[in-house]
Amino acid sequence: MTDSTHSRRKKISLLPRGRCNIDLWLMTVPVVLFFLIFNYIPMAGMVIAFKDYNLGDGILHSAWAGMENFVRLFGSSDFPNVIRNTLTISLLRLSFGFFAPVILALMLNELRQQVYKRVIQTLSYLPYFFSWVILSGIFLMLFSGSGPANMFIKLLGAKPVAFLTNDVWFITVLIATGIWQSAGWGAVIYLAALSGINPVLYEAATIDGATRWQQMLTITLPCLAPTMVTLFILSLGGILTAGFDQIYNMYNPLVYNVSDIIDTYVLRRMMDLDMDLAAAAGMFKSVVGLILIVGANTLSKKLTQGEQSVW
Amino acid sequence: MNRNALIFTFVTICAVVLIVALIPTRPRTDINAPLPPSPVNWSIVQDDTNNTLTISWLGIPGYEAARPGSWIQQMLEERFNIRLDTIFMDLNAFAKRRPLILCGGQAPDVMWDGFPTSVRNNIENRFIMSVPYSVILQHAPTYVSLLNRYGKEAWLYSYYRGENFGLPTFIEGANRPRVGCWRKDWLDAVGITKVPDTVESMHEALRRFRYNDPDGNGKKDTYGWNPYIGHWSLAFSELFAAYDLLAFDFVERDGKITWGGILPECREALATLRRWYEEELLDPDFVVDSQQNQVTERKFQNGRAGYLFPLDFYTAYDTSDPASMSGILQALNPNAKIIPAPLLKNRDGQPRGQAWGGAAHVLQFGRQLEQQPEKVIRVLEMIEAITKDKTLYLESTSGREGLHWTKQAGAGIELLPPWNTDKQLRGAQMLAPGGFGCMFFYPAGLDYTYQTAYRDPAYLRFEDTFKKPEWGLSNPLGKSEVVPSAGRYLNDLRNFQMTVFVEMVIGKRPIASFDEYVTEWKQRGGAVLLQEANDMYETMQQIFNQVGAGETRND
Repeated sequence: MTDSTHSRRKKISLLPRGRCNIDLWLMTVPVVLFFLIFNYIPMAGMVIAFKDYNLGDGILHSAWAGMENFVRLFGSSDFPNVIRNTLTISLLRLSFGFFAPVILALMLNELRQQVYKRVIQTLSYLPYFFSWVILSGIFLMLFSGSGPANMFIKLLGAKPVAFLTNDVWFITVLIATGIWQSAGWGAVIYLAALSGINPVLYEAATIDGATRWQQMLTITLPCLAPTMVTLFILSLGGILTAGFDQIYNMYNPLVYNVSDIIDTYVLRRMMDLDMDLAAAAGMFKSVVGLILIVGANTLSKKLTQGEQSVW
Repeated sequence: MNRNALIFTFVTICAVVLIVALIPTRPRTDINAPLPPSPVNWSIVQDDTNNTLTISWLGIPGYEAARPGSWIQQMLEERFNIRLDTIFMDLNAFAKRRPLILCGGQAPDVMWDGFPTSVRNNIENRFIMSVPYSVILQHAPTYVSLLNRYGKEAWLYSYYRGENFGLPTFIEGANRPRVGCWRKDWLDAVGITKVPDTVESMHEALRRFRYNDPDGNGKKDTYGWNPYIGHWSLAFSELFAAYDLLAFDFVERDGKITWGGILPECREALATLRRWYEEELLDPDFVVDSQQNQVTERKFQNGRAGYLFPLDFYTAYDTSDPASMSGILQALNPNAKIIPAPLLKNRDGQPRGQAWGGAAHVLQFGRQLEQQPEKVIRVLEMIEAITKDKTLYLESTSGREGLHWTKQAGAGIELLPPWNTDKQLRGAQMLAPGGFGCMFFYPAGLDYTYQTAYRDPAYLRFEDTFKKPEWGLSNPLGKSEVVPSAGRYLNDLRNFQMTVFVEMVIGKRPIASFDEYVTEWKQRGGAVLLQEANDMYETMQQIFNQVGAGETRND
């Protein structure tokens, strides 16, 4: 091993080097503890998915059930419908919702009046801080048969639309309101990425006679691509998380067949204290998420020759 | 991640799954197998009343302001030589905090529970102990006789695999059916002098509310009815009752248990609702409105609909109370008046309405009391004493006469100052005047004949005019949740049924497809529930024989 290799290794050593770094290490302690306590230690609870879990006996003393909980889960008559609904809603969210923050960030980036830009930016990410309990109340009122949306439609002479009780319209409202709520917040990351683009590139492009549209296509978007790829890969991990709080607060008996997702299914099982089945469903979600993240990252790495990937 | 790491991860996951799959497993609990014998030899258990016993007690006090050490608690402690360690919870904490307490190995000595599935979970998870029928009969015979009279089906709530787990409770008033209300000023405006009491007269009133401009504003902006379907027990239940049905519960037909929602008369009721919807008598937003908090009530208050269900407590009609439905309506519109809706009559001309039934809840005993069974006996003796001694009953629920309350001739109990005005103070002392049922330390009702002496005469008049117990339709098993597979199928089936019924009412699914729905309902687990329900019905008779409750049909 050469000296240069030694020095490189030394530089990336995880061990603290002298007192000067103690403060930095101390700063990491809360974060490490947070992840240990709330993310890693609870992983041991996954073992419940393989047990005939009895609350009185606890995790350790409950009898093993092997794969029985998974057999029960996949054998349930509701499960195929639940998986279909979850994937449909998630893929629609991903298809339409992924690009909305990018477009919003690009539009905000083009604004030159800083005060106006900040006001718009604040207003756009404000909905993110409202709970779906409140937002669903507003949307149910807005889109009900006698609500403002239908009053407007009637004013135009058209027939009222069953926004909340028709399967297709309900999913449309679900996706659209979800995008409205989260696009502003999602744009913050892209705005941060945009601010990191070297202005020299734009100056050079301007001198070369590029229009703003051409600058966006040839400079802005390529510079945003690594961030987009990273966020896309991470969002794939949540493909089986279709937005429980929004759906739970907005659905009704007429749209159960298209809005019953894994999380609402798990909730019903949890309410019956069927913890092992709920754990099996949760583990299934996590494993699918893990496979998708690893798969997408590998694919991205391969297609870009290792330039764009999370790790 | 390189190729080798990927292969390693994949192989590791496969290996773990394979190992777990091959682990020898114990078969799941057999619901028919007898339970291991109780370690308590009840025949030799003695309770020395000179010994002070400390008893932890968990329940829902019904008052946010309830505090340990209330006057009632101290009175009971002194009288029965006990120290009560109370654990108060609201409904939210009961759902979320209680499981943590139980899992943490801190099950209280006495624990109230309102749901048969929850009781069964407590049994299966070995949190609570069994108490033989003979012990309850020996130490609380008067209480048992009242339970058998008003809510004997509750014995099923504490039954599990041949044994009894806890003391079932009853509420006399829950045998009475629920009623709705009509806008009286609207009925007058559209020329209806007799308050509707049949399906036909209800239809006519709803029709005139829609088409005869009952609010006189010159616009066709009113509906007859905005049905609330947010909970299965309230969904069109007054109309189903007119067809002698509980659509979302078990019912009895010819000595057998069946499900109300699959019977031919249910199809007839749905066809009626479909016609009413087609005629625009029902608010088309009723499905969405039912998902939101109190929107149905607000629409009634704002004059969008002229009939509301349920509104079945007499104080709702008290115009002098600004917080009552009458008070709110009059504040919005001085001409508005409401009147209780008589129950709709069935084909035989008998009024019928959905009632919960008097079978209420279960008072359970923590499994740790297997080591101190004398605590169970002390609690049973206390319950028995409260049942027998009417003065003690009143003191356990409402405080002491002269100190906390007084009673004038021809009136109910009235609290004295400062309890009558200070809600916080009243809550802290857990004084519930007139609360004849479901109190914290005595979570059961009382003989109705005794109630008449102490309750508000207005309450009694209302109950006896509109809510006679003999008009109530209730589940012959008490609650459908008593069947063993309820946890697996019941919620999903009720959701499925609700979807199908609403689709039929609004015309999204034809009424003609009712038979297909019945087939699917059975395939989705309904057939299992029906079989188990009939088995439980037979079991119930065996239990009744043991506790002296007579026949399964109410006497």
